[in-house]
Amino acid sequence: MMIVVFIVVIIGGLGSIEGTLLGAIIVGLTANYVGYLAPKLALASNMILMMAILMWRPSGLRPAVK
Amino acid sequence: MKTTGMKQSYGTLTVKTAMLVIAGLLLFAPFLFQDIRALEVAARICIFIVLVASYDLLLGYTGIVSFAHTMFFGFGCYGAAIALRQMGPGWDAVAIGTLGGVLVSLVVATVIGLISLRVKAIFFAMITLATASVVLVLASQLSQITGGEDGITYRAPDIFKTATKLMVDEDGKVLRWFGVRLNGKLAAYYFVFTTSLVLFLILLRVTVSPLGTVLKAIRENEARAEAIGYRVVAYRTFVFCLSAVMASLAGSVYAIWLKYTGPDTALSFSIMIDILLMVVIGGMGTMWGAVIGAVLLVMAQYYLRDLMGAASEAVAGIPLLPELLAPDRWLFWLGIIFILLVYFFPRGIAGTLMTRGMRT
Repeated sequence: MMIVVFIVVIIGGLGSIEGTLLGAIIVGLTANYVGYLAPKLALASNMILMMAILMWRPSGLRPAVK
Repeated sequence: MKTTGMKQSYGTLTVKTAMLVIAGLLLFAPFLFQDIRALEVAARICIFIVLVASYDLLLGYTGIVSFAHTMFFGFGCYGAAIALRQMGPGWDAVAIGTLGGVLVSLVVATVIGLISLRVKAIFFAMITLATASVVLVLASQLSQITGGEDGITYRAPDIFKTATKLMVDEDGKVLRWFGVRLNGKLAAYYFVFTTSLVLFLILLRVTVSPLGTVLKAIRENEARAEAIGYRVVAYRTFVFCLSAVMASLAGSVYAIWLKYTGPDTALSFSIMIDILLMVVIGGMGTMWGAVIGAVLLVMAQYYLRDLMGAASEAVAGIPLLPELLAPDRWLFWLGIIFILLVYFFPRGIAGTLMTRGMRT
């Protein structure tokens, strides 16, 4: 659970509330849909999502400090 | 290698004496402690010293926080294990497996390093955490190759078999030296010891070289190091690769020693936490700290329970104390010992001791 919380904060960008909302929605939806469509992949879906987003935006989706 | 001309403090002398004692004990371990479990502990200590020292190069010297160190360790383990299972016991399998593990580690480390070492420390830590957990999931799911949760058992090269006789006396029996049989187990232990020693000395050489100084500069002030003209990203990637290779080699040696490789012994996060604890307890930024941390933690994990059992029996007459010291509560006491160690040695045991007595 702690790791999921951490992932949400990182994806959203440190220090921003909207980012957390966005991150939580994305993480929740991906975890469930991946679990439904490809159950084996679900074990790593959170981590792959985080890696993909950090590659695209290295400081999260909505960082508070640019 | 020793810094000549500088007067060494008492703390440094204490630490170096402790190093000599530990090295001596490990060198003569099969002769000093003649049971299987002690030999197991000694070999584990040797391998963890290398593993922790290579992690210390990242965390203590360069200031990179990575959670992927067990992943590289696991690459080494699985490389040797898969090669030994597919090709049968032999040195060619060991060489191919080790090389394969090192290559995979090198490629993965380079990719992670080049892509993500320019981002902030916390993001880098998260990316390594993510990669490590993906690899852990892969290792448990690709059961065709990795054996899944059950892991792989295989045979080591013939010279390391317990039945192998290194030297025989006139009757054709295994020769004994000081009551120790010169059999394959002894050869396996000295293989582990020598490889660990060589790897540790290489790491030690790196830290006292000009490269080590640059790494410390990067840790202390990244912007200034960049301004002086050192390419910080290149150095960081190089160190990340170097420590990955070292961890992978340590993993291969461990796989040969243990003759079993599974997610619990090679890839799990509890090993990562152990490594972190060893680095912090021993002292970040000193290679000696890695040795002290590895020795203390491995010894505690193996012997604290026995010690507490003895203590509990010794105080059997007194109320409450035997229950408090019952062997089942060893994790509780381990935790208390760690908290006390961090409280009294804020820079790690070696770090605090070496700064103490500097003024005199």
